[in-house]
Amino acid sequence: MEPLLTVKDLSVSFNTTDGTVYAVNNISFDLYPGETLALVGESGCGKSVTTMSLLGLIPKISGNNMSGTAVFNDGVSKKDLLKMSEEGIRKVRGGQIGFVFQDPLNSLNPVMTIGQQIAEPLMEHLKIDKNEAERRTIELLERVHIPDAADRIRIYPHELSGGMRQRVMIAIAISCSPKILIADEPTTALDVTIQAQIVDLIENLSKELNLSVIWITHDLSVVAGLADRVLVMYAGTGIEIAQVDELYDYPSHPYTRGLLGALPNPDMESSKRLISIPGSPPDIYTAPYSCVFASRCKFAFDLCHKELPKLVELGNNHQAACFIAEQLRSEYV
Amino acid sequence: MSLPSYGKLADNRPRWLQQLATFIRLVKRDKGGAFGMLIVILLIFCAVFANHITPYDPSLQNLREGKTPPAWFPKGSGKVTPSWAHPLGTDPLGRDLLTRIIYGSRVSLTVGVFGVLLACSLGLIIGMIGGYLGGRVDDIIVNVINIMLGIPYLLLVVVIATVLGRSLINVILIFGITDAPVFVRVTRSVVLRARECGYVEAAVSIGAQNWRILFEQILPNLVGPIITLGTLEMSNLIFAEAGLGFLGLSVPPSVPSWGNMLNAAREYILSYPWMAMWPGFSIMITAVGMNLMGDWLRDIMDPRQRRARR
Amino acid sequence: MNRYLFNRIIQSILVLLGVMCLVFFLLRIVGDPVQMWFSGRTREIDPETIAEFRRSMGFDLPLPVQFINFMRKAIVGDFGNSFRYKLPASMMIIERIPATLKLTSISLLVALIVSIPLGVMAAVKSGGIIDDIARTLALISQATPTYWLGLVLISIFAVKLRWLPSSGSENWKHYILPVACLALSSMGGLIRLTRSSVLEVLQEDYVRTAVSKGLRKNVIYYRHILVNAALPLVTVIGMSLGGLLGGALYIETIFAWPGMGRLVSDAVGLRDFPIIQGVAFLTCLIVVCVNLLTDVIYTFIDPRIRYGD
Repeated sequence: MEPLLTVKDLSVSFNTTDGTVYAVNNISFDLYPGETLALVGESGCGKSVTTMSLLGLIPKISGNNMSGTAVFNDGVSKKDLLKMSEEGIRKVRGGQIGFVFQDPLNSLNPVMTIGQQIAEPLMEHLKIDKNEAERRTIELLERVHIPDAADRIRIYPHELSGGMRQRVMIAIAISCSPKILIADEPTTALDVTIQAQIVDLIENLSKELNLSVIWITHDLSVVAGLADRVLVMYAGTGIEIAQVDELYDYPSHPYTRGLLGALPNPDMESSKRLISIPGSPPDIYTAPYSCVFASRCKFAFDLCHKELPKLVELGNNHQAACFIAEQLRSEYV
Repeated sequence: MSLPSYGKLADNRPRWLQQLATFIRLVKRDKGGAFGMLIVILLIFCAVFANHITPYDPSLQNLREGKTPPAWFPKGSGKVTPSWAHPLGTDPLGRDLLTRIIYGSRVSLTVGVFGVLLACSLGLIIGMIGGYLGGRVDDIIVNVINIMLGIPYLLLVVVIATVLGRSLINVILIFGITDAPVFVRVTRSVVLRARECGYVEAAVSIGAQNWRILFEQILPNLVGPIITLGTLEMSNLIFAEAGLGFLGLSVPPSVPSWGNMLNAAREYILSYPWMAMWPGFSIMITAVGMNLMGDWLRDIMDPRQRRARR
Repeated sequence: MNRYLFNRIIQSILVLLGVMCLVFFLLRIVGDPVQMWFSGRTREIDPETIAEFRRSMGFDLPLPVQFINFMRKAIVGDFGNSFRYKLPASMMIIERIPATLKLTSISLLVALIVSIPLGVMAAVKSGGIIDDIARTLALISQATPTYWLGLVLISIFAVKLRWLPSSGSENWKHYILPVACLALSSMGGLIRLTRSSVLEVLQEDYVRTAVSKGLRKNVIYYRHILVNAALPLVTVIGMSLGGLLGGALYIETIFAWPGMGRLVSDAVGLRDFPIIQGVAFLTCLIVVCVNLLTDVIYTFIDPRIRYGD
């Protein structure tokens, strides 16, 4: 099967008053139709920047640099999202790729009704009139399980609960039947009980609409239930990518192992304590010239401090960027 | 053995040197702010050493040299030829304008500094009481503040100044009191925000005393906003004082102040326009300096705002 | 009617009452208006005249009685007769209101027309040339004293070049200099505020949402950014009128403009208190009304207040 989206060697850097920040370094991944890919990493590791750069949401001002390719296959033609014109990428946004953000409280315009906000992309991308857009808006609200949709279109975001607002955001994102849905920590700002509902909603929608989902999260426990594949990021670099079961069973990068160790496990004996990774992520004011995790890694040796490890294929479409990945992988067998 | 690791190199310099380096970096980053600070330092210098750096007595009259134009003006227009003895010229009574300008900075700075100090102390006390106690007391404070802010400022000051009469103490009192609401508002909002913070709640829950919480937990949060506001308000007060002087309501007419000089220059604007220029320029330069410095301080004190500005 | 507006109206009435109390007590407790009225005279005045004046103005009654009398009359707009002209103060002031309102409203309009587009452009192209221009203009505007600018403009355009008149208010030429002064002095604050509120809105998550929806740039700017950035602006426009009325005090004095500002600055020199009290009260009334109006507009734009309690 051909991938829907092929990202290759994506790098993004920003010029700030404190120096150049290398936010994303040589990230590569594929996204296949209908699959859910999880981008996992600590906050500040470049997950959001990666997806925002795909949609041209990184301001194009001097000092901001972007390189690499992101080829999007819409079934008719292939085009590189990073090299598209402003007008071209605008049609992809909302039309082909929908976006759900972290904080539903601030992600909706406070002075517009939710009906107007959902209808906007419909009228823009599908060129339909106001009445038709309103009809579809009600449909969409029903689709994301908002009761009394016909009445709710005239209310303002502040009149809705956090979970309801996130449903509105999802309705906006899927309004024009996009191919890809990017969900940037969509449940972080919500109550635990609501979180599960939103996760279910997005999972069901992706099945119903054959959506590919890029799910950004810092929470590996969320990933287990919903993702098909996982890309683990650390300090702006992709360090391990694999099918979700493969990754959980055979984590082959010390950082992934650390993340899994830091996860509470219901089967765990109460005497065992949660393991945390010592140290904190490095400043990203220099482009990586050695393993980004070396300073916190208990396996690190000389080479790790001198050379940048590349992603190596471990079989089963499992790749990890570590000099001893194969050894670590073989420990499980 | 320590291996060179990915990330920033450790800074081994002593703490004070690091702080100095940070300060220099901040100065370099915002040249406007450094310029503003330079102006303010110069102004303070002038005010403090006015009697040492000026060649004349500010109220020394010399009618024969009256209405001398600035030194670089062409000859012939008036009766008195311009000379470098009076670089900025003289007024109709023959008093040296440069000397009076330099002495005038004393009045402006005194009113600015003491007015802001008074306003700031009143504002801090009232704002902290209101913000911390809340309830009825706070409601009353908020309402009084809103009433005061609802009155056009200049008019309020003019009315009070007319009644109180002309003296330096009165001017400082007027500005110190009428300017306090701004400080109350900022203090109150900072205190309210800080009270919500975890560390204050923690201090309350372990039973710390009210005054200790106020001084140890909340006061440090106020330093940044108050210093910034104080700088900007100082420029406003200097402005307003000169305005009062212009209307003949500030310090007594015998005192050399920028406002009084402008007031005196008004009648001569048609024939001797330079008399009005110097005090105006002085006020302007002072205001530019203090505004630039205030903005710069805000950037340093509140890093969240820095992003919004750039 | 909603609670917010109701509270604002109550507050406005309190402001006006506060001003009246302030004006009254300041004058009667801190000083003696009769003494001040006669203090500037060079000629000795016999006590009989003073006592007669005191009686005729009602200043001989006990303070609470005076206060009640003052409030009773002030509520219907009667501030007594001008000491100097022996005419009702309110009548003299009302005659002068149109001239001042014309001057200040035209100045506000000019200031808005210049500063809002400039502030928006400065924010959108933050760090660019327009931003530098806007920030410099704002700094100059905030650092130039209105009263001095008036003198400078007169000495250039009226004295040196003889292009424009320096006093009076007969035709459009008379408006140029005073309006330029007042507009320039209120521009700084407006530019800075427009710029910072647009910059703030640009950082909001909902703008990112609007972009991610694939909307056109114009739609994003007009429908999402400007409407939200206008919210703080509306209130400040109301407030800057207060500043303009203050500035009118100087400008009317300098340009001999027949408005309230000049009336009050003359009255200040003469210690003619009924006039000062009347102008203080009426100016506050205008400012309070305009602020109320902006609050009403605010509730129309912002649904959070419209439906909130």
